[in-house]
Amino acid sequence: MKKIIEITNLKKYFSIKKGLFKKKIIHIKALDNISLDINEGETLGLVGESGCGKTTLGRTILRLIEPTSGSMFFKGSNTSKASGESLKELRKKMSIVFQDPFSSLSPRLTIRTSLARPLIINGVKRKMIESKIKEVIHKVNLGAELLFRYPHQLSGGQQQRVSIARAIILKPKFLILDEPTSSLDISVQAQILNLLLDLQEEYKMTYLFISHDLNVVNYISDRISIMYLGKLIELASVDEINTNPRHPYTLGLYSSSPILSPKYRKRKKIVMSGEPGSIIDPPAGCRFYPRCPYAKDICKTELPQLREIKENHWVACHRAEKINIAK
Amino acid sequence: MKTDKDLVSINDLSVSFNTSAGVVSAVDRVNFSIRKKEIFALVGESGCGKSTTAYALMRLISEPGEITGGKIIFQGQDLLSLSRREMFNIRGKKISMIFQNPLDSLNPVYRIKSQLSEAIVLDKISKKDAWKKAVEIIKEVRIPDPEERANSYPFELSGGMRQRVMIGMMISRNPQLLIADEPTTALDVTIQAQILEIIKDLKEAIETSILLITHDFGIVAEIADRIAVMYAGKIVEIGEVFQIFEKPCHPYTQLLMGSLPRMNKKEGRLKTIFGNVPNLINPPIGCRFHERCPYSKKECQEIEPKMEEVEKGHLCACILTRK
Repeated sequence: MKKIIEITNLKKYFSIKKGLFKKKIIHIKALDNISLDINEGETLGLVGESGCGKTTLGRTILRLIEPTSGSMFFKGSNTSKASGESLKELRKKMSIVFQDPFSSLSPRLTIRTSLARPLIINGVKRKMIESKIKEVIHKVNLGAELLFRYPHQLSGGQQQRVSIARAIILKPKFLILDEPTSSLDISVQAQILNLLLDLQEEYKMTYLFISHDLNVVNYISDRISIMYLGKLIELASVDEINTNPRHPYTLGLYSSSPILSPKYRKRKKIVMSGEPGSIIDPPAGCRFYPRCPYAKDICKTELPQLREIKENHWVACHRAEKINIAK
Repeated sequence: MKTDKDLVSINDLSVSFNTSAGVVSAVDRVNFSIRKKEIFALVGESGCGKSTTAYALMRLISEPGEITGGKIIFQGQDLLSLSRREMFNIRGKKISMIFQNPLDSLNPVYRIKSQLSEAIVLDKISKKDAWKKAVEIIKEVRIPDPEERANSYPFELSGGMRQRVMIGMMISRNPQLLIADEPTTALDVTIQAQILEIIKDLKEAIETSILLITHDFGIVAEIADRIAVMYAGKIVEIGEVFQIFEKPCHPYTQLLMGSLPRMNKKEGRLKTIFGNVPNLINPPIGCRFHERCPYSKKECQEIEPKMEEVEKGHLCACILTRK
């Protein structure tokens, strides 16, 4: 399979100054040695709880946040070093849709102006602009009469369609979807998910779908990756993650997540105790160690590396083969 | 279908808001009852009137809103006919409520224990005993290091802990009814699971009924006993959780169930509902769902459907499903 994104040992540390004279520098390890490949044409789900670094990862891939170290490639070209014209060129091919459509659209611009912006910036000929806007607004199933309205005059679902239209107007090959449906009602969520699937088919796009809602991620993804406190801890196909999760955190996360059918309510649930620790001062060894019911001494001292325990199934857990996860 | 198992019954409750654009009928002649010791979920999409119904139950509707009709019978008395003083004695003591964002509900400048004991001292308990009880409550909602946490301020606690404090505060006087308005929406899934466990266990321990207001069908599938589905200010269907999920009868409920992502994209696309929620200033005549309903007939635009029983304990407001 061809890879569209290749990430190796990506780190993003935010530093904050603490102490009386602001001399003590603390590193927040938002992304800690992330290595991840995304295949062309697939939808990779990225799951994790708030503060685990999933949004930071998405934004770092687009260079909206500068990485501390590590390398990133888009279709073979190094994006971590790109600047000026070459970065502009890359951003035409990669785009993002944010969680809250209302705050990501300028309240003072009409929908038409918002959509024209990326075209003007990238030097699309004036004659072409109008037809491109008409085409894209039609693709996201909105009427052209909305073009002269302002964001506050649209419903949440319509606003999100506009955000999607803006993201795809330059026909990118790779699209990051950062919780695109979490502020929407379920019937609108279904419309947006269907729209994303249609657009993916038509434009042959690759998606990185960031979400905390496992039901949505299970629906839209081909593969799923799970993050915990700045670390990638498991990566496998949707079926494999659902039937054979190997990391205790993945198991706990899937077990805690509500199933949309009452007939499963009596299932054995593993309710994880405690709360995610802090990224500021993560525990030495495995970051999940303080909450893990299967932890042994080695987990306390040695950081587990992401390794392939089975074809296309990656886990970062010392005891992945040994623990018996009864479902 | 009133039985002595009912704790609250709401009859023809209507709430409207006077806005500059006109009168919004947010809740229109809603009927349902909550039984003793059950978790009753009121579900629907944003703006359908589910929170307004809950606020009306607490008589917390404020200007420009107004309860325009109906009765709320709680333990034999109509809450809408009580004086403000009498209602004050019911709120917090017999009916209490937890809200979506626990940080907005806690006072940032008081310690947890003083906020917790504020409610307890109303039961004529000395301040010292109330503080002791506050620590016990913190223990009951499973917060680690209860003594230390009692002395914390809200900002020092995580979101999950704050919501536990809220739950603790609301159950401290053993209410008969606990209204939970989107109690876990602001929380992560693993924390949500912990909170739902606490709510379920406490329900058994203090024998309270819970009115759960949510838009999240996952939570409903996990813990609710019965469900009422609201659409545009009306209840369209009431039934037991299995009836609603497995044999939904109203077209709106059926479409909602089809729009839930319960499978993988390989198995097909999700169902969607055509159009938008109607404007409640001039709601559609007849069935409020008729403009969006794929089965809509001419009668649907003329006759307002009544709630009718389709099977035991399962009511539905749709003229097409009439036996």
